[in-house]
Amino acid sequence: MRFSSRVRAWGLFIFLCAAASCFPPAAGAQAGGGAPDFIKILKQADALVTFDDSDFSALYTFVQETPGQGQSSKQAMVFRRDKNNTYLIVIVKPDEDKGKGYLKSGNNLWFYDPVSRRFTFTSAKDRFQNMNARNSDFTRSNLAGDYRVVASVRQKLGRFDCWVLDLEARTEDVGFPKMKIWVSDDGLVRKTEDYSFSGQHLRTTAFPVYQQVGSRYVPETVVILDELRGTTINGTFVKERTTYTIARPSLQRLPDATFTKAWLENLSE
Amino acid sequence: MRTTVQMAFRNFTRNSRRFLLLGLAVCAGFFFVCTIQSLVAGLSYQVNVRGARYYGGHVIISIGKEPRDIATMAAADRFILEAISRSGVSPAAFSHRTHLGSSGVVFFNGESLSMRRVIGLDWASEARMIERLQFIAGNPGDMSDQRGVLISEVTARRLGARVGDQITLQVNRDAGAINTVPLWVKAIFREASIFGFYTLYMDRGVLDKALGFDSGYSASIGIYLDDYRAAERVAAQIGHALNGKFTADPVIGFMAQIRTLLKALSIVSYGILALLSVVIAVGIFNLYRVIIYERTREIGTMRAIGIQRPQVRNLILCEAVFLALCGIAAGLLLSFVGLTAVARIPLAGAAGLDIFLDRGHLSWVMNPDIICADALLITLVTLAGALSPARAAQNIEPVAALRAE
Repeated sequence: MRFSSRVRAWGLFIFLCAAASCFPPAAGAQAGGGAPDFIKILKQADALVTFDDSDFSALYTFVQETPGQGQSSKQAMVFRRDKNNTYLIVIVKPDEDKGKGYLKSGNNLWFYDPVSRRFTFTSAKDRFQNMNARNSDFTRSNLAGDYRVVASVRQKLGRFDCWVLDLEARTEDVGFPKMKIWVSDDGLVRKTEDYSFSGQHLRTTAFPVYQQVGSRYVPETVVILDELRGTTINGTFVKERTTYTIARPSLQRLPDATFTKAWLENLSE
Repeated sequence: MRTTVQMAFRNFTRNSRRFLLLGLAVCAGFFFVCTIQSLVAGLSYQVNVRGARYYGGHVIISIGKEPRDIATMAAADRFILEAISRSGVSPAAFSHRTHLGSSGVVFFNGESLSMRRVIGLDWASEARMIERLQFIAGNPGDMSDQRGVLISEVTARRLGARVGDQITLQVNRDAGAINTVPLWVKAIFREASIFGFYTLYMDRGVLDKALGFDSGYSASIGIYLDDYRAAERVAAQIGHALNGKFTADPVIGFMAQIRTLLKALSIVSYGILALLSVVIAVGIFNLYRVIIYERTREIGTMRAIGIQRPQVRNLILCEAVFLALCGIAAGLLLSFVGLTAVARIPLAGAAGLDIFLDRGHLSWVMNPDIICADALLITLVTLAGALSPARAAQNIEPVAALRAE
């Protein structure tokens, strides 16, 4: 009798230990115990991919895959000056789009068409070159300022141990009012899911590999899946996908003239 | 006078061959004028019907887009309705609408399509107007379901959507955040013009909620009129009553290029009317001179048996009136036949014409007031043409006339 109650107690203990190891910690709890400071996590995620103390430039290569219609690709040079909330993007390939550009200065974003030689206002929330990337994807990250964390959970994403954070926008200025982000323990965002105000899943973005540039990180490849656009092939819904790779990242200081309309105009001449 | 009219009628009917050429001239003139003006009126009618359906009435009072609390919105609404009442206008129907420009995108089964205009309306108050669309599938009456949506044939084809399917509408809320709303296709309409290709009709409350506006918000109040031609006058009346707080515009004011085109067509039609009037007047003048010459002995005889000079003049003018009336009647009949034939010619797909067509055909409208005005003008022109020969006739001396060969 005594023996059996001891066995039962040990059995219960072993069962509880097994259960604890099988299930991830409850939402808001840190792996080592206690809830981490999620704002700090977001700030760190922002800081690692934001270039406040230098300029940034790189060559972006976009590949757009539209199921049933094949692939198309574009190349663009991206120049960022995050401390001024400014960027300039100029398309370099293909030839028919060469010279088209975007200039963001503060909250204003202009699109330049070298054929008509005119600048037109566009929105940061619009799609970039009719792909699944948005114009806002090239600006500085401000997750900590734009969103608050409403839920969190630990999850393994591939080989990364991540915090999965459910975010809700603090204001309606942002494109996606709701997001779910996977932040790995090294502080980098590995995956995001963007949702509409009503909770409709709009797109999924993956950042599988980062490259270190100075003390900052730049994704090597970004994969964006459009959750609403695609084609049903053989009974399976295949989503539209944009993949872009970032090459030749540089933190070299850029001339001030780079972030001007005149520079964009001169490029196409 | 009665005797003069009777004599004129007898002369006119007994010598109808003499007046045949003149009658044909009047008939042709009236036919052209009537046909052109009826076609221009038809074009104008079609544009106004489409415009009213698209913008929510023949006269539109824009409230503005800035966010307002319920109390302010209700006060604005009350103020506008009171102003309409004060202006003495009696609308056929009202509309309260919220609309979205080109930022609306619809999704279905992986396909997406940018909408030119997403219209949020109150089905209960606008059903009568919207049901005049040409529906090719579904039942627009099902729009009483708040999650219902009416889409165009082009949109349905591009999306591959059918009646009963659930589509997703993506909009940007006021500050830019993306929102989506599921909608069920209740009916599909055929509208080939720019007013229909990428237009979507849905419930105003659902659109307001998606856009983040307070319940009861409307961007505009529209007024449907029984006679669209009164829109400019009514807009001015209401604008005056609104006292500068809000603006009232005729729907045609939102379509500047079409308005210019219709005005140009109208001016051309009046130019043709003026030209034909001159041609008719000159033709009648010349032909009447010949007729008077041929009837010199007859006039001399009338004068000899005691008919006074003014009576002779009136007789000739009465004949001219009969001539004009007969020409007008024939012209009107011919115009009716011609317009009916033209309206049967299928023109669907003709570049640039879609906006003016009614289900792929030209439409025409014979406005009684315009027809009467045209008829009066042609009659006056005929009388003017005949006046000088009639005066010459009254001055014929009986003795000289009877002596003439």
